[in-house]
This record gives sequence, structure tokens and C-alpha cells, in this order.
Amino acid sequence: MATDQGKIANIPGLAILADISGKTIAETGTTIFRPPYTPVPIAAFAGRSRGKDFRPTRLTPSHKWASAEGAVFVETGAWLRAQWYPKTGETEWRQSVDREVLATRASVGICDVTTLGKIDIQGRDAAAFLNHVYANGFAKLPIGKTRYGLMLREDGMVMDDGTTARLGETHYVMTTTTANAVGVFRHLEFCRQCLWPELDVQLISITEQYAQYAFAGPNARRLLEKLIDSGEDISNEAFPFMACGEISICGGVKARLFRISFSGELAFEIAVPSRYGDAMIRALMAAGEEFGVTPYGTEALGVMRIEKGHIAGNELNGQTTARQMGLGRMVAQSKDSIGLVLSRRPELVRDDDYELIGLKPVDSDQPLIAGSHFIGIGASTVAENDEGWVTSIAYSPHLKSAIGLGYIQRGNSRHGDIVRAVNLLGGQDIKVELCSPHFIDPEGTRLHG
Amino acid sequence: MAKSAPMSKTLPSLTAQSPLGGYKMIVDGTSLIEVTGLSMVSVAPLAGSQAAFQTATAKLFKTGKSDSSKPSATMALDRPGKQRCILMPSAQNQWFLCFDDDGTNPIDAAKALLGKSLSKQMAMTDQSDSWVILALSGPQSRRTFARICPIDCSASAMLIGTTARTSMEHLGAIITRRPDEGDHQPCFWLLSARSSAASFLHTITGSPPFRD
Repeated sequence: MATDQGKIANIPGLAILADISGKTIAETGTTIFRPPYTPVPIAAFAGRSRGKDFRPTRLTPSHKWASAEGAVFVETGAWLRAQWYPKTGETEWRQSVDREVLATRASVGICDVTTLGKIDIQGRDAAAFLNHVYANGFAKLPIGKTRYGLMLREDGMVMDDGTTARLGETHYVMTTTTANAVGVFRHLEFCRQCLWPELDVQLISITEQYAQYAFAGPNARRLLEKLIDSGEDISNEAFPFMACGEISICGGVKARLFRISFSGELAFEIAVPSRYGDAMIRALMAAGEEFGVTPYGTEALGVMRIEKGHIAGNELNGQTTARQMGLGRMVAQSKDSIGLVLSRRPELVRDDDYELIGLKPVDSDQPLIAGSHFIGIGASTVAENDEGWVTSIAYSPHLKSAIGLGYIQRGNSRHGDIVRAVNLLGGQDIKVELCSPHFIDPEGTRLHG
Repeated sequence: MAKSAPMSKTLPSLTAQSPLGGYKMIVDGTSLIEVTGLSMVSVAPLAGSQAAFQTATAKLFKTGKSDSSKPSATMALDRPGKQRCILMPSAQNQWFLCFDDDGTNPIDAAKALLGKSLSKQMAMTDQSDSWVILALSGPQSRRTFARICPIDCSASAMLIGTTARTSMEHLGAIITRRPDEGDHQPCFWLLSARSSAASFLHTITGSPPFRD
């Protein structure tokens, strides 16, 4: 009934009823009206929930700095995140985003990743707990190492992904996506309290405790080396890809350092207590000046992850499987984990299932539209011929073309195929070439540099 | 982290900021002041360590070993003396140990307070930078709760030490009643997430007596 409380639908409904029963509307009678009987302006329902009173806003510790840099923010849940940082003379968002992507891959860029969910996990059974929660193995993750993890729901679909670092014998830190931070924490508490109360595990959110910055690009290490205290060693040998640990910076501040990368570049994430977040970003920017350090926002982050073929929310939308994402082998078959059994359902392991692919327009001047559907060349544009859909799109300043990710039936065996990407809402019907989702550095040489 | 040969360089120092920059507001004798300089560490006894935790807290808070003085899910413990030291219930089998920040690593300081032998029996996590804390005190302080807080904060329902995890205007909050101040004036600490501290403050200062 919604906002009109049946006032509009009721009369046609009564008219239809009267017609069927061969009576007039008056003879049929009316229903008992729900209040409000007198129309009430929707603004009155909103009441004081306007402006700052509408809902709370979450700001990262370096929000003031980002505002001063001219950041254009986007709401991510209650968080405000910088989308891009326009520079003087940039009149269109793509100019800023392209510049941020190119600068990051050419030298070094910094992104505020404070909003990612962070969960502190401790206890004698923490390893066993993680091993059950994640589809891939965590029992043997060494201290000082980080591992990418995939979490399934009981129905076998992917719930969330993220990294978990082992800080000590019985101490782990899990990161979640920004959007799923609360959901994952709730899920872990359910597992701990209801599914496996016998496990000795304690959880607490530390999302608020740390300001966290990712800095990526070939000069990322050189930048950080300018800020670490004497005696710390972050060379590739001492601190290789996926390493983690405590580090002393800027004269004694204890930070956590993770060698992880979402962009495919040599990258680190540093977490400092939130009280130092504002000072940390300013110190990183000052130290990076000689490298032309560039702050980048969520849009550039999105471009780089698509260039690298990393899945994110559009691919991981609660309706997709690890197998579809190309991560089927991560689901360990030798141990029990949430979702394992139902991930083996026949419908989820079909040979003609959707598989993650990359795509680019045959005419590189044409844009792509996310949500477009794949239809074969020459096939009529009807639902029966729908072979899959485009999940994420971006303009790659490196490839000088729009690129995208998507799911298409038997995608892994179709690299090089030409199909149509049809978007009836957007009025687009173009040819696209299917390819590997890894557009940049598929061998990972930059990552391990 | 591996260690290498010392390097000689000039490092910038990082300046700490509190969530609200030391906010303070007083209206008709009722005050709203940001609590700063406090370390906060969550303490959760691991399996089989509850008794050891109780012994440690009885010693730290000098409460003896009666049932009524053990760490509870609703009442905070307060150590008498000039230095602040409070044990505040925060969740099932979890407490926040709050104490004056003297520059020591909060986890190390918490271990020292509870006894180092106990440290492997507790899950301890630094929460010092996770929360904004506002001290609300004075004759009209309870008026602040009327619209924005769903729990009963009256004198009879909320005795000194009572701590509740609740919400204020839809923001998750912890409310704890602190010892009275001055002339038997009630005092409450209101805790909420650091990232939404500005929204939390807006909510409270939009309520009586700060905005009548």
C-alpha cells in the first residue's frame, strides 16, 4: 500500500470487484481505510530527519586533509570516501581519475583504506576458527604472513573476501570489504557463539582503531623507507609480498604494515592508531613529494583493480560462486568449511556455468556500460539468447580503451571470441572481444618487485 | 620485522588528535566534555581463565572476593585514587579496562595492571582510538537522554557504575554512570564510535539542555 495507504489502488480494486460481481461500487462497499485518512505531506513523515539529522556520517581520521585537497566524496554506507582529487584545470572526473591511475603505476599513489572492516581475532582456536570460516586453508598460515581468503555462505555462494594476517601464535587480523564489515562481524559472532561454542576464540572490531593507508607503485618502498625508524627493514627479502608485522615509524609510533596489493603494483598498507591518521597522511604526502606522490580515490582504485582482474562487489554480489570467479580451486576439498557441501551442488558445478572474463570493445573508442548483456553475433536480442552480463567497467588509461569484467557461459574457453554487449536501457549494442580478466602484468612481476 | 643496520635520517613526528579536539560545552551548570588521555583495552578471558581474571580484578580494584564485586555484565568497577582505572563491561565475557595514558603501549600497560602472568590467558585489544567519550554531568544531564536514548537513566534505575550497551539516536553507544560530581550531581560517560563522533556530538548538542 505504501505511502498512499491504498487510497489510489483501492478504488480501481473496488471497481474491478464490483464489475466481476455485477454490482455498482457503492453496492460493493468500501474497505476500512487505514490512517492517515487526510493526506499528509511526506515531509511531515520525515520530520526532523533532515540534513545532519537524517543519518550519521562516518569520517576517516584524514577527512579534513582530503577535503582540503578538494576530494570529491562518495557515500559508502555511512562512510564518506574520496572518489577522486581534482586538480586545477581538471573539469571532468575522468581527467582526475586517469591522472591518478597513471601516476600510481608510474611512481606511487596513496589511498585511504581506513573504511575496510578490520576484525581482531584471538584465542587458542583462532586458526581452527578461520579454517572453518574461510573456504581456503588458514591452519598453516605462518606468523608474519597475510593470506587472501574467500568466505562462503552456507548455500555455497561467496559471501565476502579479504585478507587475514597472522600477527602472533594466537592472534589474527581480518580485513573485510567496507560494505560487508558489519555483516561479516555478525557472521563471525554467530559462528563463534552458536556454531562452534567449543572453540576458544574472541573477536572485536578494530575498524575504528586504525587509520589505514595503501600506497602503491614502483616507488612505494622508497617512500616508506623515508619514514621508518632506524633498524627496520622493508626490503623485498626481509618483507616480501604478503608479509605483515609491527613496524616503528616516525620516531617510535607503532604501526602495522601489510605487503598487500589491490592494484597489482608493489604496495603496502600501513595502519596507525586513528589519533595519528591525519598526521600520517600528511607525513606520507610530504615524504612522497620527491616521487610526485599522488593521492587516489575509489574510482582510480576501481580502475586499477579491473585492470588487474581483481573481483569486487559487482562480481561478488551474493549470487556468484568461487568457481564462477575463477577461484574454484581456492575452495579446499580436504577440510570442512562453511558452504563447502552446498558449493558442490550439481547446478553450481555445471560445465556451461558462467565464468569470469575480461572484455574490451572491438572499436576502442566506444565506451562500455556495466549491466549490459552478452548476446551472440547475429542472434536476436531476447532473453533466451542471453549468455551473461558485464559486471564492472572502467576506462584504462594504459590500454587507452574501455575495459570490463563480466560473467559469460564457458568464459574460460572463449578468450578471443567476439560477442555483442547489449544494453537496451542505455541504447547500446556493440561488439566486444572476450579476453583474460588480467589486463595488466598478468605475471605479477610488479607485485613482487 | 627484520632489523637492518641503523640509518641516519630526520623523521617527521606524528601529532595525535582526539576525536573531537577536546570538545567542551557548559549550559546552566550542565557540562559536556570530551574525555581524553585515557587508554582503553578490551579484555576477554580465554576459556578456563574466568576465575583467574576475577582474582586479578579483585586485586586490582581491591574489591575482595565476594560475588557482588566480581566483574559483571552490567556494573563497572572503579579503583579509588587519583589515577583513573575503570573496568567497564562491553560485551558477553568482555570488558574495557580504561586507565590514564602515560605514554606506555596500552596493551603492555593493561598487562602490567592485571598481572603479566595473566596476559596469555586473556584476549587483549587496544581500543584507545576506537571511541569518542563524552562526559555529561550536571543537574540537567538526564534531560539529554529523554528523546535520544531508549533506556531508563533515572537515578533509581541506573545506579553509579551501571553500564549499558545501547543506542543514542540510532548510533551505537555505551553509557556508564560515573561517580557523582560536586554537589551530588550525576555524571555519565557516553561512548560511541570515533568515525561518527561529529554526528554523535551533533545529536547530543541538539538535545536539552544544550538546545532547548
